[in-house]
Amino acid sequence: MTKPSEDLLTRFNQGDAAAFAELVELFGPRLKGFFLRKGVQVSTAEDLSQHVFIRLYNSASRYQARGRFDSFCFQVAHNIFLDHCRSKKVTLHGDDIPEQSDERAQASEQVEASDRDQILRKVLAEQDDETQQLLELAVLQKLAYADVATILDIPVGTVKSRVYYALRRMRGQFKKYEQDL
Amino acid sequence: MNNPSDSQLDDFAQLLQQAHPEPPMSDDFDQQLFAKLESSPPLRNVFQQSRFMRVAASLLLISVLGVPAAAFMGILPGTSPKPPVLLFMPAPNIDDIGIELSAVDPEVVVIPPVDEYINDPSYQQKVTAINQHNSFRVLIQLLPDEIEACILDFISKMNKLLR
Repeated sequence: MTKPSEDLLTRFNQGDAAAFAELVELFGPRLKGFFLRKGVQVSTAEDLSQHVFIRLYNSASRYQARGRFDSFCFQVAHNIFLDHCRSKKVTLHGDDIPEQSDERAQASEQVEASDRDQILRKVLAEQDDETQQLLELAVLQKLAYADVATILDIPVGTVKSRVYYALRRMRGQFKKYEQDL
Repeated sequence: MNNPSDSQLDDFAQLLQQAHPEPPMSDDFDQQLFAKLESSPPLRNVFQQSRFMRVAASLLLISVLGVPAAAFMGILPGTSPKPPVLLFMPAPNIDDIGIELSAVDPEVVVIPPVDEYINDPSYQQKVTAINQHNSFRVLIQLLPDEIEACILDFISKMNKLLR
């Protein structure tokens, strides 16, 4: 059973320090997976997850539980990843430049996977960046379409149709790979 | 090829979710995070805890807002205690500066040049002649009245003869 994450930051605001630790426990793995699937290294994924929690901690007093907390959290994560990409363009050089395919492979090595799961990951990895971003939020993180639309700054209808067509296309690719096995 | 139904797509989405489990965090993740949180407290806490930061922030605020506020107060009516003092140069005394060659004889009307006369040679000649006449009149004003009257009479006669 999932804990009511909306309450955790509110509880933290009211002085319950343990609530923030619960929040970290609940969202840490989700955020790490989110960043890993963006193609960053494991250590970078944890660093970025920490940035998200630091930002949540610092803005906790301004947080108003109006919508779903996970949407708010992934909005922050999305912004932090964009900041990371911008700074990477300027500061990354030499060995620091990540090899995307290697990192995605590292991500998939995190958990021992069946053939079917590997095919599904491969199918997702083959999608363009926009589709991956969309499916990450709408399917893997199960955010509401309206929240995904807000985070990605596109209309809700566009989110719905893109998710539908992406799933349909990916399902076809998945079936094809399965038959080839 | 048939399009998949919504339920088939939902099933596929579930498969996709299952294929992407949440990775475990490293053992020291929490420790590192809380160490970072302690080393970078929120700005609000910094102000609450440090008197120096409050004073520094106040000074910064005053210096930033003070200038436009003072400028705004300066334009309000009645706030300026002293009216501005207008200064002008006193009229020069002819005894101090000697003979003023450009002194104007009230009997001679000099029309200030307008733009189109500035480069007109005949007009310039006329102005030069008037200036010379004026200079002469000023010079003879310095002489005793009898001599001045004689000279003016002489000039008048000479003008009549020349015409």
